[in-house]
Amino acid sequence: MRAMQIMQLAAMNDPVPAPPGASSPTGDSGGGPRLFIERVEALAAVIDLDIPPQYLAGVAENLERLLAQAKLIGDVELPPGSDAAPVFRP
Amino acid sequence: MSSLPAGASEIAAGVRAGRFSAEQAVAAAQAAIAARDPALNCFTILYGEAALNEARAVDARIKAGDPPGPLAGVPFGVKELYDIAGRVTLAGSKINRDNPPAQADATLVARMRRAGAVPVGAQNMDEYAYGFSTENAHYGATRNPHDPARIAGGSSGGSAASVAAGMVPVSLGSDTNGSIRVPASLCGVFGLKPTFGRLPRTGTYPFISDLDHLGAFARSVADLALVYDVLQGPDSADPVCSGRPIEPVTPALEGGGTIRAAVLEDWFQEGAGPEALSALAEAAKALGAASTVSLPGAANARAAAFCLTAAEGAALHLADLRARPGDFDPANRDRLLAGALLPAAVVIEAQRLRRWFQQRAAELFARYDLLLAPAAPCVAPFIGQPTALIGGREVLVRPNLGLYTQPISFIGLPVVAAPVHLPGRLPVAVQLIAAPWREDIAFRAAAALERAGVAIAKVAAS
Repeated sequence: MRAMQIMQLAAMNDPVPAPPGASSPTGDSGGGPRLFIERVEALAAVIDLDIPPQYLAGVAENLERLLAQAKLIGDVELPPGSDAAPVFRP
Repeated sequence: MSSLPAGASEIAAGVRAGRFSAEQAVAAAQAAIAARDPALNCFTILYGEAALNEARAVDARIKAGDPPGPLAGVPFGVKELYDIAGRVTLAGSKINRDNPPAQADATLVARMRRAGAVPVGAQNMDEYAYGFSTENAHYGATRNPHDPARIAGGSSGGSAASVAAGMVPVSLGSDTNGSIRVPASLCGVFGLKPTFGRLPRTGTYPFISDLDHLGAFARSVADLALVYDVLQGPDSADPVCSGRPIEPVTPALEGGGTIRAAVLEDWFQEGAGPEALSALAEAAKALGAASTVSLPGAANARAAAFCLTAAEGAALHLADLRARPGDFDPANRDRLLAGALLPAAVVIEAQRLRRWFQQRAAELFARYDLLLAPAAPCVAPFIGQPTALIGGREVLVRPNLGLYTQPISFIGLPVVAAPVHLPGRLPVAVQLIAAPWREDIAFRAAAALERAGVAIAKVAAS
């Protein structure tokens, strides 16, 4: 599993898996790129962020990449009660 | 600096002894910059006569019998996210041109000046320190002195390349995800990223407060140590800065004693090119690091740093992303906008993972004093090259140059990047990673590699 994750990261120019419940702008399933871009627009509207149309595809691509990374964060089973480190002192 | 010594230690010694003046040392650096920078683009602003005046003030202190400081007359470069009093801090952006000039020097610049060093100019970087290549859309690309067709690395590219080209003996940079270690590797110079919280960030333009470190570049371990010792000390203006006392490393450079070193495997070697692996093997051999160890969760830690960076970077720049997205470097705009859409839960989970990953590293440091890893997966890619061959696959250059640095800065460990020049190859560096607050061990290891002839920072030929 870990090796697969590493390869997935090292191949970030390849199409990345769509986040759960979302279609991939680079994939063919579930509505295709247009649907994911529409979801990006909807997300942006929630925080009143007006993304110019010419940037939408690039933002969608980057968000998809981020969500693939976010999935990796969740792959580690953290012990219950483990605290965040917003002010971090090593 | 043809007729004067090239190293910071030698320059300071020469100025203090009266063999040459601080003004001559600074003028020599300015001549070197005039000769080489038009082709390399390391500097975005030069301080010209102001720097010479500062050097003359150092000379006046010496004439008056006042101690000139350990860096008397040493010219240095400053990544342009450090405040310089009276100048606008651009941080590689077009947007910041609208800001007022800084009221005071950044703390580290002030400490360098108090030690007698003289800033000669501000240095090129990736916009807002977000990038590993210093291909800046507003100020142009910084070129690698070892091969001007290639990138210098980033985001502190101008700082690393100016040292590699012999324009200045030392420069100041910053490292959030690898922005000192990656360009140190690609330009073949020594780079220091200390423990998170060791050096105050006061008066520098932030990127990701949770991850921002300041540090330096030099062509010798002694020079890097000399600068680091001057930079240390608490600063209550930076809430992250530790209150620890100054712990000088210079006296420890010649120190003996066994360093229990091990080589990081798995994530830190998969995808590494032949140069990176050869350099790692040479360093490991010289340090007697026979063991290989795994740092569990490195891929996940890298992912967490990746997401934290996008989310916090977006939060920092949200007002400008709303008002003037077209003024951002296109390389950053879309990913910052995407970062603004990342759910808060991802950021919190990343912070929780950070604590867990810190504990995994601590377990290794119970057995070893030092961990070795490549600083970058490959030698410098070409300017404008979108992808590189990493691990036998074509992958994007920009996000992947920091594969091996991001997990380490995520948990704030101190690192000296030690450059290795393999015959006929472009340089690469090895990360010498120590436990928190044990910069002394990383420095001792770097000095040992330098003495063994394994780590060396060559001035790149013009």
